[in-house]
Amino acid sequence: MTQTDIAIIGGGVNGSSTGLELAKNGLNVTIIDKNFICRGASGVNAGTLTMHMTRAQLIPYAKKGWELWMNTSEWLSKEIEVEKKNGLCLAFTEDEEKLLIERSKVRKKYGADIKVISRKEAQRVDSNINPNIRCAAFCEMDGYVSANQTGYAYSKALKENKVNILENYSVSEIEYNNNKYVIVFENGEKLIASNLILATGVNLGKTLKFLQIDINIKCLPQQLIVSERMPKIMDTVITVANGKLSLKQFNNGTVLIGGGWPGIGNIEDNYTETKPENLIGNMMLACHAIPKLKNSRVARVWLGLEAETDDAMPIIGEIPNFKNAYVIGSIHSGYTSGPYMGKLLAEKILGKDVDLSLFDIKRFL
Amino acid sequence: MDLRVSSYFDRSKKVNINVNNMKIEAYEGECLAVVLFVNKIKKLRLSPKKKQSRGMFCLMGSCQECAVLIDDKKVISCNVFIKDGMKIKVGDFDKQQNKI
Amino acid sequence: MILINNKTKYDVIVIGAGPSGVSSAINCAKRGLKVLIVDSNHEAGGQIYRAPPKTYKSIPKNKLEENEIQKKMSIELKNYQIETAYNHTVWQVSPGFKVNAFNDFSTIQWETKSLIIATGTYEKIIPFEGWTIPGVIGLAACTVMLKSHHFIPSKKIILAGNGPLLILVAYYISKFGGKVDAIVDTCSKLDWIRSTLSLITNQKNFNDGIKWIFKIFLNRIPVHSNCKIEKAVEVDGGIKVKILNLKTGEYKNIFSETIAIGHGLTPSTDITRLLRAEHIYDEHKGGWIAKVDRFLRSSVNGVYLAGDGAGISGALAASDKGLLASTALLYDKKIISKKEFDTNTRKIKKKLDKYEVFAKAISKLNSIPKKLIENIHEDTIICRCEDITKKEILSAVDQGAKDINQIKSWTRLGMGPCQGRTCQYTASKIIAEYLNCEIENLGYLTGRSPIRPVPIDRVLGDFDYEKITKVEAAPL
Repeated sequence: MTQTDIAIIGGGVNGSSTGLELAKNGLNVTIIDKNFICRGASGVNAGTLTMHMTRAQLIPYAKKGWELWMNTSEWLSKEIEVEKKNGLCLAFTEDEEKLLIERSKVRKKYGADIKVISRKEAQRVDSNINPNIRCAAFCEMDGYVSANQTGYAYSKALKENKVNILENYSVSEIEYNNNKYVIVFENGEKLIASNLILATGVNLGKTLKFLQIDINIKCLPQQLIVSERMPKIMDTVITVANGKLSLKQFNNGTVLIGGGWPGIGNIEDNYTETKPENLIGNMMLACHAIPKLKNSRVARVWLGLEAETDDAMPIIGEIPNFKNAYVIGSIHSGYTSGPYMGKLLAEKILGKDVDLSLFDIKRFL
Repeated sequence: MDLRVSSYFDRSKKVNINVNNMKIEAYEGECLAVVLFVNKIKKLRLSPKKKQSRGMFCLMGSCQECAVLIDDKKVISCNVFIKDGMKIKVGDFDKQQNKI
Repeated sequence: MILINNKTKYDVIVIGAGPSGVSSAINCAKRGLKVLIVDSNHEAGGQIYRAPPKTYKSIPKNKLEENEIQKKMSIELKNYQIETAYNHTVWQVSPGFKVNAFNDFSTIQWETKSLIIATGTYEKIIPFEGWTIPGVIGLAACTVMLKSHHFIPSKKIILAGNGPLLILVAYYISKFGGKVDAIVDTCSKLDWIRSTLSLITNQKNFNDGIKWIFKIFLNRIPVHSNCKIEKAVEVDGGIKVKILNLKTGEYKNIFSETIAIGHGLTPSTDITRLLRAEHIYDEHKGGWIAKVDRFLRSSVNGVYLAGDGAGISGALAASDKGLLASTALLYDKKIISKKEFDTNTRKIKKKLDKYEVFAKAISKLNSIPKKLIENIHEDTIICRCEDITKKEILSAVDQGAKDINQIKSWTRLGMGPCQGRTCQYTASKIIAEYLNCEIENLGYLTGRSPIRPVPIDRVLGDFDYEKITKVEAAPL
């Protein structure tokens, strides 16, 4: 039986960021994942770093997360593709214009530097957008990460900081004995940890049950579409007023279309399936925003499973009645703020004064 | 030497197509990828990172290497059949595909 | 919105109108089932009997045997009133089943409870330095050019790789007035002689083979046995090729206009992987194939495999495999009795067993010598779509990538338009050789939709912004 200071179950952005920060502060960390790390939502999401789609209350955290992503060479790995871009949120109809103005006001209140601009101004920001917009919201603090590189980048950083990574290890039981957590794996091995962090993303509901905690974590299967490589057809990250589109072009020319159009999926057998009608709706929206996209071909479609609590706010912090046990997950726009949320949780564990009351799991118990 | 084999089939009518503003003679209905190949237009596009020339490879619709631009849209030429007046662009797609 | 929902209830949809697809479609139609057969080509025939372009007119006094077979297939489909969807490329199949395809104008969706997958094979081509030079094409590509499009690729050509396509292509190039500058075969002449005993069990194919080999002798085509292409470079007027003798280590330079290369066939698993069927690795059968029972039922209820997609056994066996799979389907749908099922399948299996001897011999000739993989220079591009070199793949392995999906995630291998069809086999071989592990341990690329790139304009057509499916705004 091996021992560790901190066992983190779930090696996605949340778990890995927390682990990385703790390891940098000298703790002995073991990250456990039933697959390879960052292969869940962290590795397949759209990688959008935008304030336009972030939950208003989470904007302060997303801003900090954005700053971390823009400086990965300081804490992660130089090799992950991160680009700062201007972000435009488009409104095509009168209703959308109203919605956009309202929402921009709220987001601004929470700290996002969002300005509503005219069609002409928007065209100056990006000449490729559909000229038939009524107005747009503009934010300089936008951009993207190439999410499929997340695992590669974190793997390197974690190994450099002496974190043990147990990949393809499935947990079958968690026992609490003598102030220690005994993690029992399906292959019979065991790991003893003084501290436990649960960061299993969309499977958090299942994992919490190991501690007899019953919280509903919704599984939202989101479809993503990527085009073939294209010549440059956009220069910004594009979203729309109703929040159902995210659009960006990577350096390699491929265009990624997202926006939370659901496919079919569940966590029981990790099954996902494309819903063609939603593919088409999503693409229509994308082509309406950037007309030149029509000339391209769809190269790949895939799904990611997103976690959401009943009130759509994160759960981060101590797990009541369990000493030295913590949880982190269900963060909307979690990829953007993940590195920062992980840092916060790590700081809390290290004894610093961190206010996570907004994300207290107690509200569900 | 015409690389066409005429022992078993007669072609249909002779037509002209336009490849990068160059006139090429072909027969209606022939496979575009093949016509380009035998007319020594083998370099159809550039590879993504190394920008090396690529061309027809599997002729079965699997490899996607034989893509050309028709009406600014990327199509695989092994699935395209010659029509009179067809306009095709080959080469550096980044430069060829229209910008506003 | 252009998603045409064809409301006809089909009892079975056959994907692929090659010999196995056609024979299974007819078998089902004979029993009164409502059948739809789908193919991306404009006619039935598959690759082996691929119809020439629509505009070609057959010369009555000089008929090509394959063309006659193809025409018969097409007529039979009509006679049994089997609905055909030619020029349709399938891009997704979802469980239950819904088959999505696109044609030149739009996308269409069909529904059925039973699927026969008869999508055949792709060619395996083991890379070498310079294999991406335009002018280097597949041996199968060359075959299609000769026998379906009726062109020779250039006046002069070098043929390389292994297996029966080498001699078939050499025959037709010579017959049609071209010159084969050399045949570069990884096999030895002894390998060929040794396979004679098994090849002769298929009289017709054997006779064809003799005819082809005879022409190679007659035309004094230089045959470099035990050799592989090490490197190709573009030079004035063509391609210069450096060949390596795998036995003696000797190098030789030869030159020609076109290089056609192929190392056998591998079954197409796009749809079975998409449907999450179980797959097994069988080198003799061509690589990863969907797991099937003795009657070609896959691990997914309602999905049957026909033809070479169920393991490479050649064209003659394909038709019988189609019969076998469709017989199982008919029995499962309670259309035929157990007695009929037993009798018919026994007969078919007897014929198929005979073809197996021939098939095994062919697969031996198509075997990939270890040196072919070991020897690939590290700067050689493996994933053509994304320009990923052998060095980059092994670098990811060094970093800890342990299976082919992780390699894909970290390097982008298989993320391009071909979705790994061209490179998965070689990439797996390279990694297995490097890690000294079994290919099975690396898994296979997870099936992802679309299985062919979908032109966005076909999917959208002209649309009204207001008509985009009304979606609730995301929460604030």
